[in-house]
Amino acid sequence: MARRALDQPLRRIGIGGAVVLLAVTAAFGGLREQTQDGPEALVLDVPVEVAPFELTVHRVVWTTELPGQYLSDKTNRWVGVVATVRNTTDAGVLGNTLADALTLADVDGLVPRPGSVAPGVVASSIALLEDGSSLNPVQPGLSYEAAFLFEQDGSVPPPTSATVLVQRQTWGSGILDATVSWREPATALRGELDVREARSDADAEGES
Amino acid sequence: MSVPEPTAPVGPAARASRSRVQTLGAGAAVLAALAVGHVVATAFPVDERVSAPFVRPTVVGETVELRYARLTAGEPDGSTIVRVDRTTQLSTPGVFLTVPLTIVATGQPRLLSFAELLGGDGRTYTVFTSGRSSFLPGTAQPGVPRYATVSVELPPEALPGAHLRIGLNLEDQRSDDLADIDLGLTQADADAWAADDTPVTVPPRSDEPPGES
Repeated sequence: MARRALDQPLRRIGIGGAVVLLAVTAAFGGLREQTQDGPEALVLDVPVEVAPFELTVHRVVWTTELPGQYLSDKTNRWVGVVATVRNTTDAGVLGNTLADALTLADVDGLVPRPGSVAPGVVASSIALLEDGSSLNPVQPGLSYEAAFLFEQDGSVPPPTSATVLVQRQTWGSGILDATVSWREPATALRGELDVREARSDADAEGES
Repeated sequence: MSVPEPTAPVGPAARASRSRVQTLGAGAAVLAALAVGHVVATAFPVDERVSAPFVRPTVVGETVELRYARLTAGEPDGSTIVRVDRTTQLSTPGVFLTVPLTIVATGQPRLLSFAELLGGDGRTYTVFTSGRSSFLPGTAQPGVPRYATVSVELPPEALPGAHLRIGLNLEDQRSDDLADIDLGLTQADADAWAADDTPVTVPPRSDEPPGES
């Protein structure tokens, strides 16, 4: 019987193998209808649950000066995504997990931050609007108003739009690392949002 | 004297059969041993108990003896604003809780770096070596008291019944001493601190008592 199988043309063996593989994966839901075609649309000022956070994106702005924040090159600028952040779990989470939760794409000249596996470019820092401090750790039971700050090359024109990617993470251990932590950021929502120049409070009051 | 009966010669077929029985027997024994081991390991959560930290309970003002240090917690304080190292001022929508600690290392220099707060609300509040909730006492030399303050940001409802835990290793507290300090906090403390905007201070870590450095 084995000899007869070996005598079959290679293509037939390949097709047979694929059918067997499909049948095996079917047992684990491989043929189930896909429930979602891709990331949902991100809408301004609407809270979204993306474990371990609830994020509400309010606006995207750019500026060249932020007190307490330092650009790697003085001619660069900041692109900031202003959002309300809430840790929805029962334990504090460190700032690098928050950085993986919201990233930016489709903006020319963004300075990448190495060390993250999240899709898009990860923020250089996440600053609290209240006191300018870095949001780390993110404690449960509190709502924080924060800006995810991305550094952009100053030789590139400021963006007029940007794609904000919001990632959901999974609690567990890695294949090579047994430490249990928030991992595997996967984009759950994306939105192409308008970007405008940041106004100071005085400017905003003058307009109103 | 009797002459022993000559035994019947063992044929190759009989030898092969006995060898197969022995192989099957050995395989069955190995599988049985694995099954028994699995049952024992899953029925009794031995791993968790063996690796659990040795929790040493204490209260504010009472020194607790740990494997690596003697530790004493001072009176907790709180406010919506904290001033760290005389330079940085942070504000919170919740409360900043500060707890002064005195660490006397035993045996050799020790760098205590683990702290976390078990809130009265059942949540765990993370403390890192830097940031808005921090604990970084630096190296304590044996016999020389080291003074450092833990600062934790948390919602007011977590304060009543909160316990502060202090350990040696930031990443790994398994099978090691862990101080569990009942901070003795009440709802009255939570209400007062949540309405207070007078900054609490986190003085620089030092071998000198706070206020004398």
